[in-house]
Amino acid sequence: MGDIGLNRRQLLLAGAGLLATAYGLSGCTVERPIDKSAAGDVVEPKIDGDLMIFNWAQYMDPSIKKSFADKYGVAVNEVNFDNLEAMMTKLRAGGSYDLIFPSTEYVLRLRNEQLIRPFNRSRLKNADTLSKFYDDPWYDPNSEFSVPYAYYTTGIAWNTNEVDTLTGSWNDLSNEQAWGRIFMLDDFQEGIGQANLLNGFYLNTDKSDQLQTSKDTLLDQKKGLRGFSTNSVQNLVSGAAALTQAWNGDVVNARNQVDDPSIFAYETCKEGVPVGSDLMCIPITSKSPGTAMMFMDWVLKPENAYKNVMWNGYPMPVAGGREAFAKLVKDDPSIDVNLDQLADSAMEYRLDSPEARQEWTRIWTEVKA
Amino acid sequence: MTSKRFWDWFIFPGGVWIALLFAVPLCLVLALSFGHVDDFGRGVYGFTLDNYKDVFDPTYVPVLLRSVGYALATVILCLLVGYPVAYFIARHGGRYRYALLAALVIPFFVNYLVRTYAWVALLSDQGLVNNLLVDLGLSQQPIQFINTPFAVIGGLVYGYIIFMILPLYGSIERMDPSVIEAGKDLYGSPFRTFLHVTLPATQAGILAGCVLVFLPAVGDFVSAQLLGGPDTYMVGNLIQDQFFAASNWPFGSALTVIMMLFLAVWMVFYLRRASRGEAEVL
Amino acid sequence: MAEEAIRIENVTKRFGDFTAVDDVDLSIAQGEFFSLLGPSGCGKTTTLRMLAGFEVPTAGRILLEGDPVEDVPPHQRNVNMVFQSYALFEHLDVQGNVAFGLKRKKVAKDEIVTRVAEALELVDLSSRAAARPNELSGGQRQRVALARALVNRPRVLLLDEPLGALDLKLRRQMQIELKAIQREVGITFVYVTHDQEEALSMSDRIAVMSDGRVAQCGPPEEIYEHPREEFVAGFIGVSNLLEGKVEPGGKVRIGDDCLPVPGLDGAGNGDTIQIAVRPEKVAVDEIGADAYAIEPDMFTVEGEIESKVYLGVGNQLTLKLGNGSRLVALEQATYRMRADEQWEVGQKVKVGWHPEHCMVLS
Ligand SMILES: Nc1ncnc2c1ncn2[C@@H]1O[C@H](COP(=O)(O)OP(=O)(O)O)[C@@H](O)[C@H]1O
Ligand SMILES: [Mg+2]
Repeated sequence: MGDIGLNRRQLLLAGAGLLATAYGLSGCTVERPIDKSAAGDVVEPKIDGDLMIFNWAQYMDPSIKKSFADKYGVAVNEVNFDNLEAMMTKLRAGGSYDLIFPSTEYVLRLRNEQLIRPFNRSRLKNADTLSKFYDDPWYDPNSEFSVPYAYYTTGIAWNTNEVDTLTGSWNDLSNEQAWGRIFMLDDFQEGIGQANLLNGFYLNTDKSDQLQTSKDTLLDQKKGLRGFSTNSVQNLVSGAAALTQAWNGDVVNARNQVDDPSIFAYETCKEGVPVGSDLMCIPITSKSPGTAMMFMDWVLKPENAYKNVMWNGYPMPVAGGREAFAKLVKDDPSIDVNLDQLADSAMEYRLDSPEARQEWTRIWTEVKA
Repeated sequence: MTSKRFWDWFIFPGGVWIALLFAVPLCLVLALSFGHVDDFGRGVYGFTLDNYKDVFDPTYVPVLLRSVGYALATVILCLLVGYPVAYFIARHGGRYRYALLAALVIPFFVNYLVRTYAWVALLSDQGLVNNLLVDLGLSQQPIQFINTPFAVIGGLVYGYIIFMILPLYGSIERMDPSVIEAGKDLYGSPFRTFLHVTLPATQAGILAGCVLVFLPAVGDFVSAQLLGGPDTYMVGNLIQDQFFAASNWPFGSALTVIMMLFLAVWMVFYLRRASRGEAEVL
Repeated sequence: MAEEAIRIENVTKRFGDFTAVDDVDLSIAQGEFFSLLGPSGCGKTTTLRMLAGFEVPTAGRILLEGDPVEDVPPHQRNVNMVFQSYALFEHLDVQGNVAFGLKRKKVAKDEIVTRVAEALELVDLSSRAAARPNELSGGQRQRVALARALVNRPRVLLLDEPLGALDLKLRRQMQIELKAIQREVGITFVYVTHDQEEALSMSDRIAVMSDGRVAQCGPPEEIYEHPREEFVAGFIGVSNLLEGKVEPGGKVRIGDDCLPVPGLDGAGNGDTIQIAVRPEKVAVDEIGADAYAIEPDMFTVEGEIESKVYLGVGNQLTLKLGNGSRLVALEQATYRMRADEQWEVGQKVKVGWHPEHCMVLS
């Protein structure tokens, strides 16, 4: 056997090398820089190659991809990510995709990092019926980089067999009938956000004293919790949850999985209704941006939007999609939240500075720890 | 001389492999742990100790303590359950020994996440176990198994018990069975013989099993995430959240480094014990 | 006979359909050094393990000092065993090993200390009291195993090939020490071995076992000089086997020769029987020369030296007799022999032995 063990001197050398690496990398980001020369070019719709979609799993009706492929004679491929952070990492590393589905916050970050391309929105034939809610949004001034795909509102879902004393307030997360069988979404923004609203603060407040108050609210609420979870469908269907903070799309899915859908009800809260949106963007690494833009328009086409909503249960803020969702939840219209009628109570999560984000995540950790 | 040199070359491919897949990522994590987050939420290399200061913030102490506590409980339960199983297979398995071992090992090829989900299905309020209990009249109402610390520890035990059973099996099988008979011959009742002879004779396996279970259990996040309640947050969950929810990779890296140092201490402790044990055998 | 320590009454042990011990019937006296001798696989260990309580007889009874013990578990029997592998506790030092039994019996602390010291003294290991078993040589480990058993002052000590793992020289030395220790402590020893020399030199009595049964049981001299069957004669030392027909007048005809054999009482005329002569009882002389080895009252035949093996202390000669049968003779070198006087292969010789050294086998 050769001498493969490291002696003390070799270990010291290795340690020094490591420090040198750290200094050498100083100021670099985790990923290597990519070519951003195309970042300013505005995309026009035209068939310019096959399509590679990068999306959440099970988020789009495959028949929409197939009909597009048949109509335009291109291949439509899809790969999936597990979380948006993973998607970001892949894009920063230069992964080539034509269409991605980030949330509002991630659109802002993608824009800031110049990882997505602007496109000529006026050439999208089916964008006229989009909700006004998405005009000139905070994360994408003039809507140059994104169009909405689907949205969800955050409210409270409960089992009507077990709970009947709801008040239409975020206070219901401490409902006595459901005590011990309540779930809160395992998402720092949803958790802190509802506490902020309950305390009458701005949803996205970054004031330390207000956040401190909200933390106390959360610690109080935690006493009645059975857990933090984003798996609302399973928690409702398995009977683990009597009441849970939930996204409205999940309530539709939960109702689909039981014999009597009416046992699951949903409310939005008077203090404010957080709205989350997933949007469609074209990365700068796209090889077929024109095809990607054609496909966006295809997805927004009323009959396709209708099919898609019927398939995945998430409302789309566009003609066809709205009707489909209304039909899905006709027994419990409360699940159907019309963005255009929400007016002032509709709110979006946004954390503009890394410091605010750190403060929020820290508070959330303190609540969970 | 030359042939010795020649064979030395064979560590090269493996060495490079280990360097690329293990050492390099490790170095990057270490380097990033001294970095910070930029305005875009990206991790940026640099040199600051802030992340390490944060690790030792009192906020995280309960999380660390809880993780260690769960892991210790897991180790003890694995030992209590695993020892009889390993003992039975090693000493009374006869020609079915390998079949029995295979029956234990094969389920562990199934993804840990999937296996844990199976537990959710089994133990949920309207799961198989609760239905049975209610149907048999053993319980009026479903018992809340999941979303409790017990469920988390149960999940950990289930997830890692094979790492206890295999080294135990190895050491029990290697043990000279006449040593047990010597214990009985020298007036040891079965229990005393087990306590004073069998246990010490298999302590190398016990130690290996405890370390092998403790290490992954203390860093686990799956069990707490799927089976846990509001008060079961573990270090693994904290680290996972830093990477995928809080977008704070540098802090996540610092947590990872500290965790690894903590585990390395255990590892060194174990290796020293193990090498001493080996010397005793020779 | 002195008081009885062990009685094995018609004991049979089967593993499945295999009979390991077959209707064994033995009585062992208090203070006796009793050996179970036989080839590997003949059931010695199984017999010993039944005495210790690790195996339960399929049939028959075992009595220790008159009490039946088949149902008494090992830890409640007042016997101790020295295992073939020693089975020392590696995690304890020498003292800890020796004290193990006394601690389990809850003997008082200070008494344990004195008795352990005595036991170590007895096996001459006092200086290694704090050593770990893995630091000891094979012989030392053996002594620890012995001390660990003896310290309990059992009524009976069971030893399963205790010297099997030692080299020849150490073996010889330990045989002497073991015997001395047995005399000193006066405990009944039941000693298992497959080494006939060991058994002969140490035992008060020997039970020769074959295929699970006891072929012959008696003192060493009796076993050696009067083996009752071919197996025993062959297993204990080397024997020359000759086949012949019984003739009137207490003679046996082998080929052309007719030799006198004592103890033919049971056999009728014309019966074919086997007789055995030990090689060391065979004398060889040159033809024509004065009688040197052969004594007047010996029965003699002529033969020829077929081969010769020089042993240092003597010669082992293979002789071909006139009637065609072969005989081995062990010729001891003595002060009367001169170094240059050597047999040559092919040389014609006179061969003789005393008739009373003929053993009749059944
Ligand atoms: N536990 C057992 N199961 C089956 N066969 C056994 C067992 N123990 C011993 N034997 C068989 O019994 C026979 C006698 O064994 P043993 O008493 O150990 O012989 P010895 O000690 O004389 O060499 C052997 O053929 C052995 O294979
Ligand atoms: Mg044996």
